[in-house]
Amino acid sequence: MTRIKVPRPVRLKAVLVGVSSPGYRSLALGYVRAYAQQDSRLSGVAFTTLELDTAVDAWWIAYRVLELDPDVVAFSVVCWNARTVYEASRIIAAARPDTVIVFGGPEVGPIAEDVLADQPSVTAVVRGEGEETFADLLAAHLKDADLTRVAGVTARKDGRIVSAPDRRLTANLDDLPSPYLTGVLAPGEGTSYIEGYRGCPHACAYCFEGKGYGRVRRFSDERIAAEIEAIATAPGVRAFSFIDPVFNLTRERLRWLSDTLAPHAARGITLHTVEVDIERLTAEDAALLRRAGVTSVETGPQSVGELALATCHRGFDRDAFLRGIKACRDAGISVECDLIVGLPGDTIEDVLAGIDFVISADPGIVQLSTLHVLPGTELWLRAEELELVFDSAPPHEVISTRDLSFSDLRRLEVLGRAATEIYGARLTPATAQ
Amino acid sequence: MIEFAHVVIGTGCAAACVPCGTASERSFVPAEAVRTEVASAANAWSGGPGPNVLFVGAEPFSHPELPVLVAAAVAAGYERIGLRTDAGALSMPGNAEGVLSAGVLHLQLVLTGGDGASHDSNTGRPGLFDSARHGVAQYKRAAMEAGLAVAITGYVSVCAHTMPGLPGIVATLAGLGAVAVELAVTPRGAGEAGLLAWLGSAVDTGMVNGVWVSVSGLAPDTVVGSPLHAVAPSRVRGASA
Repeated sequence: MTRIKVPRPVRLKAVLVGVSSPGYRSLALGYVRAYAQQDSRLSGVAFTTLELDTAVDAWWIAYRVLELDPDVVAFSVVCWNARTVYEASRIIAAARPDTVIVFGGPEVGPIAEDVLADQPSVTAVVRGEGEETFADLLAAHLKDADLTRVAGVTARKDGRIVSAPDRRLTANLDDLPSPYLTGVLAPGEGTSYIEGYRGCPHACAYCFEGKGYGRVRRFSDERIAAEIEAIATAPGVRAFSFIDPVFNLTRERLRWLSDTLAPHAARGITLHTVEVDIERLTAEDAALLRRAGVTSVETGPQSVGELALATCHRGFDRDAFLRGIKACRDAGISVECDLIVGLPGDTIEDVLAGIDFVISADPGIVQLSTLHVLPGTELWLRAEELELVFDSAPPHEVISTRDLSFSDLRRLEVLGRAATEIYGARLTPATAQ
Repeated sequence: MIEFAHVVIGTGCAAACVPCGTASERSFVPAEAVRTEVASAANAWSGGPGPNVLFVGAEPFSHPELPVLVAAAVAAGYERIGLRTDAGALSMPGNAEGVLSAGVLHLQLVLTGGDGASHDSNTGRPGLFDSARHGVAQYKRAAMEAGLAVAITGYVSVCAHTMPGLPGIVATLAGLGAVAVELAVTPRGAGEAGLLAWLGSAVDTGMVNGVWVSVSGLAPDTVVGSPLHAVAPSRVRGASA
């Protein structure tokens, strides 16, 4: 006798909303949903993911969300989408006051209590890694339990804002189901990113990457290989990438990645813009990158000013940097050099010297960005001591430093943009044909 | 910053001001001589990204052998090839696509006024302003369709006649997509009353429109807004500059 599988009734509708730059999707929400979907406590929850981009107006985000009639709405919040997310949340809460609105992400986790105080529409903030915490939060909500007892959650209780203790980091990253292997995220051309590890070997004062992680935790080789296979063989995918802060973490890992990716690269599958430590990159490493299908890499130096580098705990070896660029160029790999305008310690002369250095290094692409003092980073915590003035509202752009006035910063931004655009308009072997 | 070798291809470009009486007779350097100069500047190039070249002196689209000059620059291995131009001829069908496909990815647009009345009057060429605007738009559209990154900059010769229009000129160039403007103060312009105020206003107009305005031709200790505005994102190099 055939047993008919009866779907369990939907007890709760959860909508996960990613508001990303055009062409990107939220990998974080993919992880969160993949984890929650396999949780037996949440079998009665119907999940929907809305992938929207930052060009979408907050009112239309609210429209898309409310059309789904959700009980719970979860936003992944980063500095560049926070204003839009805050506005959309206010509209959703006004239209449907019963909706549980949950925030997570690096913009809100480190300042969860402040966010709840400033955003009355928000029910709870998930701090740190979201997979286990969000699942526990949903399970608690289903049982009408106290959200402030869920580790890693900050929520409201009796008119107060209460933070539960921090959650311990997931010890074995393979315990987190893959968004790609579970089908939560469909591989897409240019939009798929693999996470090989969490944490960062560096501790740059302006960056949130390594904060709260303490150490680098890796997904297993088998897991990464399976994700590579799933993405690289998906119909229509010709390029994808990794989000790891240092792709050439160790020579051994680079060699393994190159071996694993090479068969796909031989079929024309490429990796676009992986981040590297360029100063450690030898000709042999560049050859491994090329073999892996890497067409472009992104790197620093962020600054060439001694004081700024020291304040941000960054090294800079001019000769090694140039050797790394040359190794990449010789291997046919385009390099994007990044500079940050507004780091504490940098003077006008330092910034100009930085622009001169990266342009004279002729990497292929030069990118200047303005410092954003991100919540939870060392610069955020030391801002007063460093006389770093920044916009308290996201995206927390620097307003002035001890050495650079507001006007200096704006001038350097405009000058830098002009220099990089003039640099970028050039004949390449392809365009010269 | 980026350096460009200036190669003179003649005289009589639109940068000259008719009311000032500085407009020179139109003449063109023969292609062979330009080719020699182009090759020489490329061979002498050392350090920094490049080589890069900007053709100056005569209106390039009037030069009878412009395609030969650009082809010579491509053959010599120049990475960035630019024209200092009034851009009027770019509005003619096929010109924008033609120079782009030939390898010209930099336009330095010469303006003497921020509107048709002043620019046409200062250049003595009625209709030039509208043609220039149309031509630059054509060039940008063609670049976008071809997927090519191009850079548009501006060049203004500052004299008594262009001075009061400087903020408007910068605003117009911003609207045309320029990322940088050089205000080159002429010796006669340097003595004009109110010069610094107009330069400062032009610099600020650039800032609020995201366009970098640099000032040249003034004494080194003359500050316009900030000493930074003496810094140009592209610099001149080479014997013929």
